[in-house]
Amino acid sequence: MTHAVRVERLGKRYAINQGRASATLRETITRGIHSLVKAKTPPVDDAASANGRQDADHVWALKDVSFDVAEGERIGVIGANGAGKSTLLKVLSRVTAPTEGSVEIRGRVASLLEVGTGFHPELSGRENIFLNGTILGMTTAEIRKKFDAIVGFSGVDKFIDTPVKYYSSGMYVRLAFSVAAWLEPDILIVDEVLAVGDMAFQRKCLERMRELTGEGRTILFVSHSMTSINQMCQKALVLKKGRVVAFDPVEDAIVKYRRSADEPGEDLALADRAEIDKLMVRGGSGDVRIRSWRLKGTTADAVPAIAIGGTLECEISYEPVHSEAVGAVLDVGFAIDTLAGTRIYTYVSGWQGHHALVEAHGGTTTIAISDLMLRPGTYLISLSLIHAGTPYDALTHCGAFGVTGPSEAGGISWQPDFGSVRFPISFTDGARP
Amino acid sequence: MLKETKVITADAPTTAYWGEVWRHRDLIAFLAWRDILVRYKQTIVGVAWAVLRPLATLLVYTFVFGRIAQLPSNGLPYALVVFTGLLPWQLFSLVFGAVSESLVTNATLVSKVYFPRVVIPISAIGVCLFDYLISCGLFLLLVVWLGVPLGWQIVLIPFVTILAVLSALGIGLLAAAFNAHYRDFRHVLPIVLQLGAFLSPVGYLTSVLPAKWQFIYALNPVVGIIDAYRWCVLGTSDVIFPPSILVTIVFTAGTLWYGLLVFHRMESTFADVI
Repeated sequence: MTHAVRVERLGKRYAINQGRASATLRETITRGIHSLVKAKTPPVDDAASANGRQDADHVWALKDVSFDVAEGERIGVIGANGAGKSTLLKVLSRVTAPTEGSVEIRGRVASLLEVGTGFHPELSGRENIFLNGTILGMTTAEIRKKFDAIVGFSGVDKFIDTPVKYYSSGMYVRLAFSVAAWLEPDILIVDEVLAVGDMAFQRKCLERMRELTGEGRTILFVSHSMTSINQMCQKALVLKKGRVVAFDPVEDAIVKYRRSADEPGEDLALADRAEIDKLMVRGGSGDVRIRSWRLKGTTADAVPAIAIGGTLECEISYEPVHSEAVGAVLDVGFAIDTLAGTRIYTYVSGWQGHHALVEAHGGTTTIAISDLMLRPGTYLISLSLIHAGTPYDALTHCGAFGVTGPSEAGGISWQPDFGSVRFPISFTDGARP
Repeated sequence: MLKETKVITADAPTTAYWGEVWRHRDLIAFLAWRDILVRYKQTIVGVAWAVLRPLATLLVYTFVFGRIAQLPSNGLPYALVVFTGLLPWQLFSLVFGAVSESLVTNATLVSKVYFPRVVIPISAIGVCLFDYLISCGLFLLLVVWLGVPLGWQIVLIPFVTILAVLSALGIGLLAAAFNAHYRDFRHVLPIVLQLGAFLSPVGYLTSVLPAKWQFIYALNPVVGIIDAYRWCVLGTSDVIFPPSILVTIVFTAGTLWYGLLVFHRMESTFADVI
């Protein structure tokens, strides 16, 4: 397969000290005079401190980023705030130049880093469609041809000759997205724009984007919404502090992202999962801490795979941090989320009268869920220890497991937003009375 | 269909840059059209403004230089002397101001969409030309009302106009690049333009100056533009000092070349600093 985008050892460095980059003239002159005056005193340890400052003054927003995107692929880009997602898109869309490395792009690119770039409040909807379309790279003839489709898609037909400053914010973004939706580039680069409009409109946008890839277009898509990423993309690129953490099929990538999200450590090999003390998504008072936990069937580099209807077993071990906690009565909490972060299951041991007693050197509890009626996919687990209604410890998304089995086939294909629970179900036909 | 392959690296793209600018001519037109539309759509005052501003300046200059200072006008109505100075000066200063501010006023575009950045300053010229044409209309009315005969030289006006625009674009590009990096530069600009209006023969004829100063005075590139402009409209009513127009042409070619060079070299970092 031919590649649409090839990124090689891409790096982008920014000056942290914005005071230098976009300084005022006044500051620069003052600094210049200061340094002139300073230069007269012998620069004893200036060289050493200058070296140190060199590093402190700059930050690599992207470093050593390499990946290939094949034609027609939909790639999600995920990562925490400041991971370099937007910088990557900016470099790919040529808004800013990289500091090192190279990007090879085959085909016409349209990038949507913001909804309604160049929209002017004083201009009417019609005028803005032409202006925005031109800014995004369409020709006038092209816009004229697609004008009706754009207006129809946005649903603001009645107000098309009204200045957009009188639009509601919903109408504004709908119109803005509609222009972009009718761009027909080979490669579409999109940043977070789906977070606009109501549910119905968001769904329309996703549909449109899927349609575009159906026509062989390549899409790079940044979003914080794992639901959108999961629905939209086949693969995802996980960035962390400007480096590529993973570039895998979307479900695996989301698991890795969830795991890495707030972990201070650099590496995120699955073997590291036991080092839960590094997890920052940790709540609770800390009187008793979970020291380790293990899902049955876990190996060094794979999450356990459980067949539909199978049993999920999780063993946790804990110990008291303060001696005051010894003798306390604990409830063990267990929860399952979808990759998109939707909670589908919570259980607290006390609901069936089970409590654990905290011993001086701790203890273990094994949780077993049988008849796991979930559809195939990847799920995340969260654990907690609760005493008298307040958590001692709470680990969010500390682990993952997969469910395998025959996926729904025939007729309508399953979509992630259809829900994850699979109750036993039967249909019986009969004649009308 | 064979798809075009682009390679993005740290170096500023030089090959095919002008071809790319040419492909964005629609965008240049649309941005210019937007500026004009926005200025004149908002209110009736928008259009009135374009008429009032040159008219007010005309009255003040005519009063100060013609009535109070009693400067010679070679037998012409003084308002005509001022107007022929004001038209090119207004065009020059508007273009210079608009071009140098253009990157900052279009910061959202610069930081969100790619196109050759030089599109922005070029499109900023549009609204200035529009204002200028309105002033020209006013001037024609004045000429007809005063019954001043126009010579054949009037056909050369477009060339002088282009010269004025290009010279302002050249230094405007330098100022724009500078402006993106040093924000308080914009406060310096009005002062420069204020001074320029008096250092250039806007409110008086160049012949007012003693002959020995003419040569030094001609080093101001705007002098050549205004003198040429007056000559085109009023005929031989004032000195034409050949070096002055030569200075202007050399200055225009030089700043335009250097301005484009600097602007192009810096454009890949505009998004980072703006």
